[in-house]
Amino acid sequence: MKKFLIHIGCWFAALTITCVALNPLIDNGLRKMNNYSKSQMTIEELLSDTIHADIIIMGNSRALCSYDPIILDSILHTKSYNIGVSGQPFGISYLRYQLFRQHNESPRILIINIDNNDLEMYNSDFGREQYYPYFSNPFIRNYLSSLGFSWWDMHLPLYKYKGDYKLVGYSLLSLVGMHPLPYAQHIRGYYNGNTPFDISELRAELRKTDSFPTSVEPEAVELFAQFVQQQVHEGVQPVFVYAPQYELLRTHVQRDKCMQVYDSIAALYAIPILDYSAIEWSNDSAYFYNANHVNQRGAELFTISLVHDMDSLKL
Amino acid sequence: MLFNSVEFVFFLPIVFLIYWAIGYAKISETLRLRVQNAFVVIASYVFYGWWDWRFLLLIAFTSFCSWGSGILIDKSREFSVKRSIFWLWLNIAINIGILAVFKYYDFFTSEFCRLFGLSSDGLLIKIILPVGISFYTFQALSYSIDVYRGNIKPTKDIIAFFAYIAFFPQLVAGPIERATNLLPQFLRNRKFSYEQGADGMRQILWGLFKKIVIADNCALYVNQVWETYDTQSGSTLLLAAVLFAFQIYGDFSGYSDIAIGTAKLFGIKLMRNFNNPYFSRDIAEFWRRWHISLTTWFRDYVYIPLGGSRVGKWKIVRNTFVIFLVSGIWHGANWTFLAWGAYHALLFLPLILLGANRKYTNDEWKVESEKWKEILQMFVTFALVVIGWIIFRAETITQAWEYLCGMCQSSLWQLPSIPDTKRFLPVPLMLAVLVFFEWINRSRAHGLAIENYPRWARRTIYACILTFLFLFTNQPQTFIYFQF
Repeated sequence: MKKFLIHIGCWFAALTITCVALNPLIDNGLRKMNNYSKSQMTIEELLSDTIHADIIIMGNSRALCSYDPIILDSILHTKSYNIGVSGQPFGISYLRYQLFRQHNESPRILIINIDNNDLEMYNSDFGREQYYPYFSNPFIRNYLSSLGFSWWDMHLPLYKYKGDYKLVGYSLLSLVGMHPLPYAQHIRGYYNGNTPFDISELRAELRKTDSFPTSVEPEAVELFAQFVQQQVHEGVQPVFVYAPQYELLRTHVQRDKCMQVYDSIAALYAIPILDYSAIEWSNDSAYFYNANHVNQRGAELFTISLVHDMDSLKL
Repeated sequence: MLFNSVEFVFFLPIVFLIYWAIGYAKISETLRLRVQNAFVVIASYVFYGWWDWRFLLLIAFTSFCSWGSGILIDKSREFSVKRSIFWLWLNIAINIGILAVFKYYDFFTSEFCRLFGLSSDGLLIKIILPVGISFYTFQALSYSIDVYRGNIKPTKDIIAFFAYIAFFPQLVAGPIERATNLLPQFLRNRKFSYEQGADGMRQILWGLFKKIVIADNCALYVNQVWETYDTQSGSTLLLAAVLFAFQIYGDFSGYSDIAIGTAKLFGIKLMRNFNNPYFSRDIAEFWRRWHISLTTWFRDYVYIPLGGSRVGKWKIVRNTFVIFLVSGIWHGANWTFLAWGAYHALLFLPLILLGANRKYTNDEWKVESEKWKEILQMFVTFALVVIGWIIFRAETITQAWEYLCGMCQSSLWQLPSIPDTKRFLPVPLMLAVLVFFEWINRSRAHGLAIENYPRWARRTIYACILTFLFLFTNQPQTFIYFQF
C-alpha cells in the first residue's frame, strides 16, 4: 500500500508541477501572439496603457465596421479608438470597456452604438478562449464567472485549456517566435468589411419571416443604465448613435421595445440620440457589405455625417 | 456521479483512503469486514444519490427483496420444492415488475392504445428511468436464481449483500456481476495488492482514454450527422455509422474498464465485459466478446433453461430469436432495439444451424497462415455490426431505413463532409492509437496491460495518454448505456 501511495503521489506531484509550470507558459504564448481576432481589438490591446483616447466607440459588430477613427480624428483633431466587438451584445461591450479603463483614463466622449440586438448580456459564442490568459485579472475573473466559466476553469492550472489543442499549439508556436494566425486587419479597432453584398440571403430570410423581433434582457437594461449613470458621474459625455441599416432589413426590424429603453435613459441624463438607421443612402446596397453592416464607403460617409452632427451639437 | 467528472476525481481517492484505513484498522476481522462493507454501501449510495437520491429507495428495496428471497428459498427447500419455487418466482416478479413499470409500461401501453386506436391520455405514468435499473435488477435476479439452483449458499449478511448489489464501480452500467463471483469477495477480508492496484490504475487510464478521447470526439461528429441525416451524402452517413461503432465501443467498454479498474483498487475482481469485439471473425464470436456479462447472463438464465442448442432445429431457431429479442428489448423500450435484436438473430442463425458458432473460441488469430482470410472475416463482421448499430442508434425503424437507403446513394463514392473540422482532426489518429494498443494487447486483460514493458516505455505511454486526455477532451457526454 505504501509503495502504491508513493507512486501515485509522485505521479500526482509530477502532473501538478507540469500544470503549474505550463499554465503561465501557454498564457504568455497567447498574450504574445496577441491575435485572437483579426477584426477587433484584442484583450491585450485593451489592457495596454497606451490608448489615451479622447473618443471611445463601443458596441457590437455594427460599431466595429461603421465608425472610422481616422476620419473622426482628422476632422475633430482628437484621438479615438473603436473597441467594438463582433457578434456580442452589451454585456460583452461593457466588459471590454472596463478592461480598457483599467489602464487608461476616461475618454471625453463615449459613443455608444445602440442597436436592436444589443440589450442582452452575451451570446454563448463569445470567444471564451480569448480570456484564458487573463484569469489572473480580478475583474475578468469575477465578471466571467457569471458567463459560464467554472471555478475549476479559473483556479485549476491548465484546466481551462483542456481539449483546446489548437490554442495550445498556437501558444507554443508563438513562444518560439512564429505567428500562426493572420495578422490583425483593424485600424484602431475599426474593421472595414469590403465583401460584396449578397442581397439574396436577406431576401431568403424575409421569405421565412416577416419581421425580426428584438429581445430585451432586464439584467442587461439594468447594467446599461448603471453604466451610463457612472459615465455621466465621471464627467464623460455619452452619445447614443444608431448606425445605418439597410432599408429592406430596417423596415422589418421591430426595434420599438429597445428604443423605448434608450430614449428613457437618454432623457434621464440629457444624452443626445443620433439615429442614422434611415440615412438617405440606406436603400443603396453599394454602401453595405450585408444588411446590418456598412462597407468602407458607407463607413466613410456615415462617420463624416456623425462628425458634422457632433460638431453642430458642440460635443 | 460520472466517472469522467471532476466530482469523481475527489470522490475516488477519499473513498479509497477511508476504505483501506478501515481495512488495516486494528480491530477484529469480523468487525473490520462489516465496517468496510458498510462503508462500501454508504459510498455507493452517495455515488448513486449524486444523480437522484430518491431512487436509492428502489435499490434498497430491490436489494432487500432479493436478500430475503435467498434466505426464504433456501429455508423452504427443506420442506417443499414448490415453496422455494414460489419465493423464487415472487422475487423474479417483484424485480421484473419494477423494471416493467419504470422501463416498459409507457411504451407498451402507448403501443397497445395505438394498435387499437385508443387514447393513451391518463394511462401513461411518464416516470423517469432510474439510471442503471436494468443492471442492478439483473444482478439481483441472478442471486436468487443461483441460490435456487444451489450454485451459491444464501448469505445472512445483509450489509455484504447490499454492497454486492450497490458496489459503485459497476452499479450503473455493469459489468452485470454474478453473485457466485462478487458476493464471496464481500464475505472475506480483502488485502491490497500493489500489482492489482497498479493494473487497476492502468485500466482506469485506458477506460478514460476510450471514453473521453474516442467516444466523446466521435459523438460530436455522429450527433451532427444524425441530426441532419436526410441531407447528408452516402459517404458522410457511412463515416458516421463507422464512427458510431467506435463511439459506442469506446463509451461502453471505456466505462467497463474504469469500473473494473476502480474495483481492483478496492481489492475486488469484476468479470471482463469486453474482449476486443471488433476483432471478431464472425457474429458468434462478436457476441462472445461484446458485453460479455449480459450475453452470458442471458445464456445462463434464459437460453440454456429453454434448451439451448441441444434441442431440435425449430427450437434452436426459437431459442436464438428469444435470446436476441430479449437482449434487444433489455436495451430499451423501442422497436429499434427489437429490430436490432432480430437482425443479430438472423446473422447468428446460419452459424448455429451449421454448427459453426463455436469456430472461434480462443484469442488465437492466425497471424501467418490465414492472415488475409481472417482480416477479411474481421472486416465483414465489423461491417455487419455497423449496420446493426444504425438500427440501434435510430429513433424509429423508419429513420433507420432512411439512413440505410441514404448510405447506399451514388454519393457514397464522394468524399464525406466534415461539419466540425477542428474537432474532427484528432479522431483518425486517436482511433489508430486505440486499434494499435487493443491489437498488440489482444490476448491480455485490457488494452493497457503493459506491466511487462520496460519502465521508461510504460511511463512514456502513460504520459502520452494523459496528454491525449488533456488535449483532446471534449464536451463530456453521458455514457450511452446509462439510459439502459
